[in-house]
Amino acid sequence: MSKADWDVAVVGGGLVGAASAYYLSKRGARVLLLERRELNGQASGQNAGSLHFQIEQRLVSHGEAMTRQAATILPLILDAIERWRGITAELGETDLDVVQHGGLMVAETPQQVATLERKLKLETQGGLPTRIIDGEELRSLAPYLSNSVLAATYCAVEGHGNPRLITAALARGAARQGTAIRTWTTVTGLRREEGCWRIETENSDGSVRREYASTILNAAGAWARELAALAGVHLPVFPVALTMNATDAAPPFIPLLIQHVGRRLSLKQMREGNLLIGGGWPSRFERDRNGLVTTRAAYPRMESIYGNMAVALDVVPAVARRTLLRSWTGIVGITADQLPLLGEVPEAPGFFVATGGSAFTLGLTYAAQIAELIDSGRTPLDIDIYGPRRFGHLNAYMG
Amino acid sequence: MMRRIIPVENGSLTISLELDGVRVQAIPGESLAGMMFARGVGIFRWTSGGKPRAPYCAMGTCFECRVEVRRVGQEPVVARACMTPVEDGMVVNTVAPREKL
Amino acid sequence: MENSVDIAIIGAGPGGLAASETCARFGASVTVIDEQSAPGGQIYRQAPENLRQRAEGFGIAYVDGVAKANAVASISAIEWRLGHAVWNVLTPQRTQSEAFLISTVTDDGLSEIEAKRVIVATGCYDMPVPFPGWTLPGVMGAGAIQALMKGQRVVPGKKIVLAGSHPLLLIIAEQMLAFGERPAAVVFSQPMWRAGRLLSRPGVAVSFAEPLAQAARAYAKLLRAGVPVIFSGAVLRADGNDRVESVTLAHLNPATGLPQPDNTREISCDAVGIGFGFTASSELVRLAGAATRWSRTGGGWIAVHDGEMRSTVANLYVAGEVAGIGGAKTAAAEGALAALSALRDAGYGVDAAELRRARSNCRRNRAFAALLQELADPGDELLRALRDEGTVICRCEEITKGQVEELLGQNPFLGTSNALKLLGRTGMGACQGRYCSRSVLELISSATGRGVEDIGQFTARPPVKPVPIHHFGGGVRD
Ligand SMILES: Cc1cc2nc3c(=O)[nH]c(=O)nc-3n(C[C@H](O)[C@H](O)[C@H](O)COP(=O)(O)OP(=O)(O)OC[C@H]3O[C@@H](n4cnc5c(N)ncnc54)[C@H](O)[C@@H]3O)c2cc1C
Ligand SMILES: Cc1cc2nc3c(=O)[nH]c(=O)nc-3n(C[C@H](O)[C@H](O)[C@H](O)COP(=O)(O)OP(=O)(O)OC[C@H]3O[C@@H](n4cnc5c(N)ncnc54)[C@H](O)[C@@H]3O)c2cc1C
Ligand code: FES
Repeated sequence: MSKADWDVAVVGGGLVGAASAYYLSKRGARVLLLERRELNGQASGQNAGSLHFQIEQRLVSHGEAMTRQAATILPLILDAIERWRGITAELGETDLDVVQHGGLMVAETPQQVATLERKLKLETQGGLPTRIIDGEELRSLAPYLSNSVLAATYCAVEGHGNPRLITAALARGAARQGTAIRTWTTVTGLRREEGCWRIETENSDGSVRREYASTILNAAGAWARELAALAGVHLPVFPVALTMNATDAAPPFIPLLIQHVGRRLSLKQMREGNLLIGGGWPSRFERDRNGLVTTRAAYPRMESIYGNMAVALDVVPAVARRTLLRSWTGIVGITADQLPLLGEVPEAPGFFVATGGSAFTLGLTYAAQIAELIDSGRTPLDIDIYGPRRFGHLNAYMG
Repeated sequence: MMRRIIPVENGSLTISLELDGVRVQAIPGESLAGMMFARGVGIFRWTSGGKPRAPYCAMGTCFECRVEVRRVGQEPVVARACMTPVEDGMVVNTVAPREKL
Repeated sequence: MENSVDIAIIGAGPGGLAASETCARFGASVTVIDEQSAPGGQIYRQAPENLRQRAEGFGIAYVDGVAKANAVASISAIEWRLGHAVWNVLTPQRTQSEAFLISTVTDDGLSEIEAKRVIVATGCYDMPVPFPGWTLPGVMGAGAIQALMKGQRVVPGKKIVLAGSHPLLLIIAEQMLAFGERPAAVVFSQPMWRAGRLLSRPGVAVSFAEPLAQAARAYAKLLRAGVPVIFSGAVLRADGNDRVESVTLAHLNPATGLPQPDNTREISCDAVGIGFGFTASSELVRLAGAATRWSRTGGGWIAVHDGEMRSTVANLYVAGEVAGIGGAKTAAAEGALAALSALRDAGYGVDAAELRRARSNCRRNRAFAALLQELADPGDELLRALRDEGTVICRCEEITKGQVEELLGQNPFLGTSNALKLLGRTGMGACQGRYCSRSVLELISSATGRGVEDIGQFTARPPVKPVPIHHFGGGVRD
């Protein structure tokens, strides 16, 4: 018995942190969830909510090697499909606005159609139910698409979750199972001490605290690198600021998730009727003498708003009848190789990390895997290739 | 009921537009809200919860006066009646609950 | 950069107009932007040409103010962008250039203006006060009724009840009378002696003789016309079938100032104007990253500024209601001062004595503004008492007080306006949170005990006024 107050201290109150706390406490662990500000205040509450299971545009458009690497993610995706399907009931909620009515990835040029076909092959090999459709079938499935759309791959289980709701529901679930949640609490120090981790925290009211946990789970999203540095290790996770847009509410007319294989677009209609339009358009960070300021909201670039609206108009002409209600920004953490980062850091025993892009779609899966790994030392899926070990060269001289 | 507080000569009603399917005459420069109030329109839109709404601020901040406006040669858009001047050939519709797109 | 003007002024009310005139006098290149199609702002709102008759019904100050606005409008050195709603402002730091980028939308499309300095004089709007029935057609801001008369020569009803706590109600009622429209009642929440007590303070009556006399004249006129002017009263609810048909008026307990549920009566009416004061339109200031502070009686979140109207963002200045509710004269004084400091910062030779005079003019006007704020303050307890469980808090998304409280109960970690907006949609609608932000703040505060500054406001996001998306197909025009 060590002097640990907690089995696991989860740092970061986004989707990944809240879900990890939920799964860990469900397994009986004594969990402390620490969040610098408010739950769901960062990427998990600001994102597009796409449950995109087809291999992502940004991954297929960077060459064959990257595309093949991306395909290794399919087992995680298959897990995510089922988790999202069951999460509302599992949490005892009635409606979290999780919709899996299907999604289309559209192509407007012959080259883009070829990319779709390449992608489809990988997906089929990996067991993801996708097929290519065009002509009459496409028009009748999605009459709102512009004639410029030549073909699309259709995945019947895609859709969206609601970034407004899911993390709060997970946090409520975790709290019901005994997770202690502290918001407005920043982790400011981590030190290995007598077989467990000493955690220093600072509350926004200025009070400081010191406590001990056997295990740390770094779920700090875009700030995972900074948190890892507190523990004395490097994790190459970089903050990237993205832009999102919402329109006014329209009567329901787009039941599917719409993505583009060659241009930056994601588009969907939420329960209340608003269209969410995004697709990875950049925002800007403020900068000061220390470089990027990631503690304040980034601001949208005008080019991003214009560009994103233009693509949306091209693909779904009826968007012209809507008004742009709001553009906002969010900060997501991307790893150096764009793959998930999932596992224990070998150079820092008891220090785990769960992060990576698309951690909305995959967040529940990341959390479930890491919870099992922490609890039992094993995972049902092979997540070895996503482990921090692959960045061991960065940590060889640390310590 | 709502109405004008000064006499308006018919001669000044030189703008012609359509409101909820009816051809109406309006004064150049007046807003859609002014024109609609002068004609006794009490409900400008219905919320998705099925409740009637009408102008609250009359100065462009509350967005309660939204109506559907189609200007000649343009897509229909949702616009604030209190900030949108009448125009020849405009087609204006008060917004029904969950209007058809 | 070659295309950028020295100074852009957003808002052509008394504040923006005084600023433009001053800038033009110094020969600076200046662009004035306003969403309205004519200059004048709220107080000097103009009607279109064919509806301008009987402007004198709004009083001599209105006629003069409009004339003055049009005189400024004819200064050829000023470039006017009327009918342009500003939907985004980026600071030079954010555009990574030397100039601010101001994005506007008109009925015809999008355009952009580059400016080395910006003066924000965007004014205010009627303070939203939720109570049962306030979403019914016919219930509106008191200022809205005046705006409809000034701008469109229409009234929203035949039997209009004006209620609230702001002395402007007297002026609006008087203006209605001038057009032969008799308000059904004018209801003040204050006891009648409140005004008397303020006036009896040393110096007050003398320093502010003119506005006080104006209010007294209006009051006398209403009484002569037989308009019931009720003190210690409040509209508890508005009822009607698709339109307001009656209001329930409560007598307020003189000791507590709160409604006495057993002392009410119904007044039949077809429109209601609610006037408890004003809320500053500070969204562009916040969007540009400048600091605001909470002023309970002075307009909600108002721009922080130094003694010469500089905001906390370099080269961004503020004037008028956006810097705290103060009325037209304060706005004009601050507009002039903001322009002088912008000019001086830009290297124009501004006479120290002129700057000093402008500063003391602002101070004098702010003293009156403070008095007016005190006089008009309904007190938070009364406003809280007006809303019940079922009262809509967020008009756009139709969210009630009860729903907000339930969310706060279920999610004990909710502690900011932004978090409530995210989870509960309050503030996600077309008004961009203008009409619920104050109530949201109060509800979070009572549920959590957190302070106003900690709860904060909704992060300002572009577009501050929604933009029709079809315009983005056409790109930007200069
Ligand atoms: C605009 C945008 C659109 C996106 N769209 C999609 C999409 O459609 N589909 C999809 O799958 N993914 C999408 N993503 C990515 C997805 O949102 C993120 O991958 C995911 O939300 C990350 O969750 P998280 O819990 O790891 O991080 P976050 O939600 O960012 O949570 C991390 C938390 O850690 C806290 N923290 C940091 N440091 C400390 C510290 N020292 N002490 C205490 N707390 C700390 C932070 O305050 C933060 O709350 C999008 C991202 C953005 C920005
Ligand atoms: C409805 C109403 C009626 C009023 N009536 C009176 C009265 O009778 N007597 C009195 O003493 N006071 C009145 N007031 C108070 C009044 O606001 C001030 O006395 C005075 O008008 C303030 O001057 P200002 O220059 O600060 O702002 P305003 O006069 O309010 O001018 C601000 C201008 O900025 C413009 N604007 C705001 N946002 C944008 C944007 N995003 N893009 C482009 N333009 C923008 C507005 O269209 C407006 O013209 C009223 C206020 C309101 C809201
Ligand atoms: S009435 Fe408020 S925006 Fe038109």
